[in-house]
Amino acid sequence: MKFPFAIASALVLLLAVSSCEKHSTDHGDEHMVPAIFRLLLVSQTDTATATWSDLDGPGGNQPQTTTLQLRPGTYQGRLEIFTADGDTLTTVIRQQGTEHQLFYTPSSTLANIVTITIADRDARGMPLGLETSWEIKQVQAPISSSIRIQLYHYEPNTKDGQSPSTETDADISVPVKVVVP
Amino acid sequence: MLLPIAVAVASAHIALAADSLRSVHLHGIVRDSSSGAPLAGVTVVIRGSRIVRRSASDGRFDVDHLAPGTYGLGFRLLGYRDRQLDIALVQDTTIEVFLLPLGVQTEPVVVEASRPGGHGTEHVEQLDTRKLDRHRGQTFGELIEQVPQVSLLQTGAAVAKPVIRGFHSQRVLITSNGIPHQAQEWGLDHAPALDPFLPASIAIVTGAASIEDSYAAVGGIVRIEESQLAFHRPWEGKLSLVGASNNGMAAASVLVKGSDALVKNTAYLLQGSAHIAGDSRTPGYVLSNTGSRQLSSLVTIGYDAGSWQHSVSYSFFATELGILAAAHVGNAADLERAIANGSPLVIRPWTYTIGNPRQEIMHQTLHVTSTYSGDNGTLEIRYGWQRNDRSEYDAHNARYRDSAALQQALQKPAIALSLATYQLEVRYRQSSSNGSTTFGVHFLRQSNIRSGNVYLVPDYLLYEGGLIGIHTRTVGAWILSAGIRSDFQWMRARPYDRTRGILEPDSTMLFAGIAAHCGAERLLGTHTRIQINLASHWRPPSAVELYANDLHHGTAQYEIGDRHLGVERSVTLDLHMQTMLGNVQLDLSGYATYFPRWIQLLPEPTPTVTYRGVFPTMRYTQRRAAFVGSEASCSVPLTTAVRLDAQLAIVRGFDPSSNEWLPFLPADRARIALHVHLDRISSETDFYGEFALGAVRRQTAVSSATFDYAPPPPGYATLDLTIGGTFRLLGTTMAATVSVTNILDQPYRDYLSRYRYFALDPGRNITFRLTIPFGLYHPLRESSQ
Repeated sequence: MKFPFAIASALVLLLAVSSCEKHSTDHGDEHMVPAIFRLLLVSQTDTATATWSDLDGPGGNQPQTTTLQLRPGTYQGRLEIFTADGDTLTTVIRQQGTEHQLFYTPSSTLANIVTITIADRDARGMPLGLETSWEIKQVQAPISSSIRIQLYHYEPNTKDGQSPSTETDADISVPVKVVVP
Repeated sequence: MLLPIAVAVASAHIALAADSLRSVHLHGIVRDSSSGAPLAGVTVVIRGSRIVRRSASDGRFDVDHLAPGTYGLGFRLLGYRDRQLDIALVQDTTIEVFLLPLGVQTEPVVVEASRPGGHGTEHVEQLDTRKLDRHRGQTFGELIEQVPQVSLLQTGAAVAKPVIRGFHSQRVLITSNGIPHQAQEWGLDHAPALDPFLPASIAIVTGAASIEDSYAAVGGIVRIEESQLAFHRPWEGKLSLVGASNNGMAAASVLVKGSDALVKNTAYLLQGSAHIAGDSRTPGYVLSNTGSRQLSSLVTIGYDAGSWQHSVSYSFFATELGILAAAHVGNAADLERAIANGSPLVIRPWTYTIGNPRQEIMHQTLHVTSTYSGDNGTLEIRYGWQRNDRSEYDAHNARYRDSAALQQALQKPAIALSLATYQLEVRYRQSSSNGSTTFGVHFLRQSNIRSGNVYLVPDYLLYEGGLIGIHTRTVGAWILSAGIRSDFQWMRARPYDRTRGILEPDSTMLFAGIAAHCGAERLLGTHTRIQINLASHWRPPSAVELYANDLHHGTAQYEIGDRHLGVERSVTLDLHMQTMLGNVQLDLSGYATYFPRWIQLLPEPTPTVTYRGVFPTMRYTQRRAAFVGSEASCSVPLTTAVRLDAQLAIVRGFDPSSNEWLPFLPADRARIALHVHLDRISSETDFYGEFALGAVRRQTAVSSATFDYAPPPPGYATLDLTIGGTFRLLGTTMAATVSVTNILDQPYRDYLSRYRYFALDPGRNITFRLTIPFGLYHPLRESSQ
């Protein structure tokens, strides 16, 4: 046994094992990443929309936004969420409503001007936040700022309708301009 | 842990005698008599001559070309008493000499051979089986934490990544039976996939280490020796049982080895171990979802063909571990809220159950080794195949079409990485009367295949090759050593283009470089040994550092690689001194490392905005870096049975251009221990106890430019107690220890704990360990002359 055993075995194993290497699998499973948030507000006299989109996902290009232009009055709001491919996530969130809640937070400059209340309820009667009601007060001059929209995910039976959870599913800022009527 | 102080006589024995008539050569190995671990750095003198030898890190020494006759040999090592031995040399002879440290009662000797390696002048901390047995249980990292140079980057109780002098991951090398361990250690939350029951001895080489094992391991090398094959010996075995109170851990390991089972001249070794652990507990609350499971096994078969010895071994290590429920945050705001809350936002009742998020790791190795021992040289050929499969399972944060799809998706990993490595290491060592020369060849092929949604490590294929030459020589009272190696690394990766959402064309990198080491060691008088080492290492940027481009949930940062990164070169100067002042043993080390282009994640001015909120953007960047540090330890015998040990470790890293501290380095640490040893209770019974105070300072060397979500936590101190001993029961000599760590259930957070943002470190833990040897082999009985 003069021929080094290790070399002989190595050659055999190198051939044997390298031939059964598998190749990279793609990430295209049913995982749906939110990429487009569309906010539609309707009052008796006005319609306002805003879009937040990040079609290439986290990283890469920065998200694109359009500004929500609001006048004093009362709006009914609806939020819709889509993947980059245009599949809706809104219905999933509504189905899993007891494990989700949206929070709308106007920036400090808008705190006394914009009031948002949740208009829809989940299966257990807790606020959900896909449907909202907006009260806009009079302003002396136009104000440009933003509203933060957070979607929280709750462990089963932990949602109380008031507190955020420990885990954020989505957290975006939408530019808002409140104009003089 | 300090070296055992004090000096005791060895029970020596002469084991084997070999053939050959004309030239008389003396070969030997020096071992610790209580553990059988090889002893490095033992001074071997032939009285009445000027011949002086030093045992290598595997305990071996050689004296060649002696005239036949009777010689008086002297053996000396700090921490052991001198041993004198007369030997009649009429033919080539191999002797095995056992030195017994003071205060250690003779225990059955577990004779473990060790692979040759290491070269005289480096600073090596040796952990033998006995020392390792006292720390076995949860993780591999805990085994080596007893060495002052080592600290741990922990992600809960189940993940402990060794940090040597502030360096970790690719800057530290772990070898197992001479083959570098190739797991996926690019992440801070990725620990080596090694069974803590497997190592029979561990040598930790720090400072300007020899470049024989690696051209990149600037931090140090952890050399693991598994239990060796026992050729031509009756069978033996060992059962180890460990139980821990804090997380309800139960672990067991069985080792059986023997020879000539079916075929003559063969030997076998079988090892298996398993553990189950539940949630860890801090003072006050449960760390929910931090349980772990582990199953591992090793099978080795060897064949002794005279001057050639061959072995094949296969091992697997499988673990599943939970990630702290409260540490699973959706975005940076969640993390800030968790920090502000002070205690975890998710606390559930204690359980063994592991839920999502969790990780599954499977590590398999296949090693084939052939060694040839000739008259004036040895040839080692080591071939290793390793495969590391890592799957990380997300919690419920992904959006799915419906609940059924979500449940299905949670069973699939969010990240799966499969790393396959083939390595070939060839070494030829030639020994002469006053030195040794080693030539080596290194070859590696590694491929990484990823799947899932995260683009931190791309798919890649990598080849490495290198040539190594090392010479060690005794010149008077000096041992001088010098080595050089030349390596290349070629990598082809397939990075992901974020903005276009497609995989880019292949990106190819080629790096080459030279690493070199030189060192000197000498005895000053009879009680002082100094070692001076200078080394230059280099490291190609890793695939992560070059190509990462994704949100890293573990750190809540967006991490971006830079494919224009260059080689990270370093120069290290290391001084080490061991001395006796009266009967006090002192051990002092000082070192400095300089990197002209250190690779580090640095914050970018523009944060990354995602649908999950705003995250800091971190980019791999090169900057100047310097590390300086020191370790000191002393051991003071108070009575023959009581001694006081103290140790201190400090490391600082900074950028000399900006004078900013480098982030995430271990805080200053000190430990004082009162060690009591009652030997000679009876021939096979002894008892020891150790009461220790460990203190860690707050890390104050932090720069305001470092991005961190929370400031370094305050310093802390913990009290630990260990009592143990050996006793005769059921016809064997068992060893048992009970240790209590954090006796006072002190609440604290360690700067290097990755859960410090969310929770306290675990509280009081009582661990019980029992080792039961069995079988027909009794080394002490055989060794009596």
